[in-house]
Amino acid sequence: MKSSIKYKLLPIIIIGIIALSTVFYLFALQTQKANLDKVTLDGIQAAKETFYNLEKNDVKMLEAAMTDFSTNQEYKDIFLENDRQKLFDFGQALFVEHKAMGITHFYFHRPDGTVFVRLHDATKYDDVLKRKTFAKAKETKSWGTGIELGKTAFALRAVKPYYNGNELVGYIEFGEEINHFIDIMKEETGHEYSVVVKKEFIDPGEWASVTKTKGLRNNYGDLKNYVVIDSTREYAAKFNKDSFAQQNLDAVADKGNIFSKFTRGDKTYVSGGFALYDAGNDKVGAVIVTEDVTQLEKTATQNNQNVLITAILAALLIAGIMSLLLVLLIIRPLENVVETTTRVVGGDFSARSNVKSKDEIGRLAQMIEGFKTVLINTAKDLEESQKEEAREKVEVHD
Amino acid sequence: MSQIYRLKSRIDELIASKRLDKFKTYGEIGLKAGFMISIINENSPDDPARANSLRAAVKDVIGEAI
Repeated sequence: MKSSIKYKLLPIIIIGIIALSTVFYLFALQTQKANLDKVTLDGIQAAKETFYNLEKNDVKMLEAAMTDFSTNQEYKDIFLENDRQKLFDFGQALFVEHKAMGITHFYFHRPDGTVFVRLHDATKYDDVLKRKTFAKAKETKSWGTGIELGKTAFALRAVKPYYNGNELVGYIEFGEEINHFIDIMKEETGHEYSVVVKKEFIDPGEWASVTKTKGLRNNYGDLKNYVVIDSTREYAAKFNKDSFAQQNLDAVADKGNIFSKFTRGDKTYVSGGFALYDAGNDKVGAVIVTEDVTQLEKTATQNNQNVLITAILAALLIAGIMSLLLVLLIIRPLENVVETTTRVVGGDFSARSNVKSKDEIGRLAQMIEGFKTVLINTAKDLEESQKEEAREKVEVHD
Repeated sequence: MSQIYRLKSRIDELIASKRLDKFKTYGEIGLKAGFMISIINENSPDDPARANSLRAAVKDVIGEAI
């Protein structure tokens, strides 16, 4: 019987199941995205922490080396002789030793800030370096440390006043490239990293020369306002183009933020970054973190499917229980009342409804019982009246 | 014997031949016709309107013309 309540409620139940499953699925998708974002952001923030921890450790290493060096009277005496070539030659053995440990820059500055000698480059001297680390050391008569750009490279620098007894005779400066920071970070996490710096800090001519010397493509023109000065990924231009856009770099947050999600081949990546500050606490660029989230996403998708299947099964179970309750509590009692009423009308005055409930259907069944009594009495009266009528007809006829 | 009683007899024949539940079939026909079939007897007066209702109800419930 298609007009049954069952068939009227069936579409509602089906729509309910679909709606419920959809809500569950959308919730699971939302949760997946939130989890992915959180994992990525955690990765970016961990990268930031690692980056600055590496900086701190290397500053300590530079300070230790410089503290030790500054006690060497032999160097001090040669420096005070004001013989640049002699100091350069004498320092080469130590410089090579230091270079092997990653200390690639070694300066002797005069008290006025002009470079007396670079042990890493004999050809440049007597220039004035207006660096923040040097200015800080000069101003505080103590350490000036931090990441700072040279003409072509970002380096971690440490500058220290150089005393002969109590007399300030100049400043010494050690520096190291920071390329190994992102290499270490990649080794630890497996993520890809790039260091991006604002163009205002890079001299295009010097950059062209550096990239040529290193056998690299000159990428100065890749971005409008930034230059990728280092990357853990070879041939990173296309990859970086997917990883971030100009506006991402402009808006990069100090604590780190997510840029974009993209796919290359069968891999899915999420990129983000954190702001990079130099020794003067100026925002000079960003460190880009690109995480391979393929496995993470695969697991999340699998979880989503499980959630969807569970949601459908749960919805089907609920629908089944609801249908069963509907049949037991409403449809069967109603059918019973209809059957009883029909039989009573058909003359079966012994027919009784077995509905015992006190609800609306129970009250309906009680009402039918009362109706039945009225009907029985009416039928009896009618029968008596018909019999009486028949008797009178017979008497009149006789 | 009244016409309406003859109709009732015809209904009884159909119920017997089709092995239907007598009271249930009476009830379904009665509810459609608007009166109780069980109280029709030989003395029941003829009423063309009732007879027509009964025929229509039987057609609906049993699917046979009487």
